[in-house]
Amino acid sequence: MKLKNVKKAYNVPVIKGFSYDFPTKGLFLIRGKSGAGKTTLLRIIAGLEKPDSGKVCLNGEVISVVFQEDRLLPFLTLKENVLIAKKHRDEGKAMALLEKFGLKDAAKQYPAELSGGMRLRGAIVRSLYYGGDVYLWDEPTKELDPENRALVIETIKELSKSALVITVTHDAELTGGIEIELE
Amino acid sequence: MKRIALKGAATVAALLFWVLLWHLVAEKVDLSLVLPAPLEVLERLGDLIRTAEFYEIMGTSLLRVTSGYLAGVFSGVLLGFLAFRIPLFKALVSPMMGVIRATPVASFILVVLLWIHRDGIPGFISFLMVLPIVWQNTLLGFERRDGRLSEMAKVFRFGKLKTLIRVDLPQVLPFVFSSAKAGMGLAWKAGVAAEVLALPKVSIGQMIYNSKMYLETVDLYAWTLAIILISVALEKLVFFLFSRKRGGISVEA
Repeated sequence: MKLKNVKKAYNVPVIKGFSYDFPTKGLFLIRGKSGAGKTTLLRIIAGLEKPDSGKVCLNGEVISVVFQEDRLLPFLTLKENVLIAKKHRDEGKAMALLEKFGLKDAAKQYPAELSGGMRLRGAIVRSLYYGGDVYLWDEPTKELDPENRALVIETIKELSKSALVITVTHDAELTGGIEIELE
Repeated sequence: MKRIALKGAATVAALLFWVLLWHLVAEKVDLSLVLPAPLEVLERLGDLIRTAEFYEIMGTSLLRVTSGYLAGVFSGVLLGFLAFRIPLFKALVSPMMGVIRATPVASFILVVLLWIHRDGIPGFISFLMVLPIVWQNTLLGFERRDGRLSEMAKVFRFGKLKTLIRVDLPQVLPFVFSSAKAGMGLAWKAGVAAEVLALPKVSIGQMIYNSKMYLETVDLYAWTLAIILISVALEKLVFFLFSRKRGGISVEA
């Protein structure tokens, strides 16, 4: 996946010509001040926004996203929110992932009945269940307690051995990847 | 549970207060032709519900109104969706819906009398009363969807149909249900009014009209009471069908 001189502005320039040639696997940590365009960059890669100029060159990679907010469907249970992500349901895989992230007992609960941290973990489980070649995770450790934060960090590192993981983060404990500082 | 019981008791007490007031005024007037007493009306209603004719009349009127109501709900949803998808269609239909909403029911009934058979008028009027409400609410529901959920559907490649069914419709349905509930009482009242003016065969409206013509005020009150009871029952039924909580979100908008 290549990004060539990507520019984006909302009244003021946010991304001022970003270029990068990403490999097919590895961990990339995007850091920067608030308003530096970190989330915008992920959105452009995910195809949710068009750059003002420049190019995003994809080779048919499947992209899996964890948004800054959970974006779970409020009228579905957590388990259904995970299962809906894929065309062919795999309940075993969904339940195994929910269990791994301590959400087995919350599987039949609705998002409104869950804490912020549980919803975020639910969104992470959805992304993992969906799978893909590129994982775009926006602040995946933000609302988590130390134990779950460690679990997510470990998952990210494990995932980056076989896929490309691009993470926006402020978490000082999340290290071990290639740091990209946006200004 | 205690709160519900208290609320129920308060409703019954308020109802009894008004019935008592009605009784006192009727006693003072002392002329059934002008104002029959509540007991007299209840007795007459009791007589009516023991006849097969009552059920035939009620059933026929209900069928007419309900068919118009259902057609209005269905068309309102369909047209609301089309208005959301096609801006030109919205621009075209909006003024027409505004005109329908603003036109007095009586004017519509009299105009429609010239166009269609009188048996079809109550259903058509019910349809017209419900259509703009459901149309507007459906459109509003689509316009107020959470765009963030649509983005989620896009990145997980739901496709258009899956996004519509699994993401959009559950967000729009509370708006539709809300208007469908509001429309039921309106359709019933407008439908009966249409029956009074159009006088289709076998109808509550015809019975009300006859009561008025022959100065049978007790009958008029008894039929009106029956209409109120049916209206309350229908609204409760629609409320029961459309009010469910899913995910802590009430579908009652």
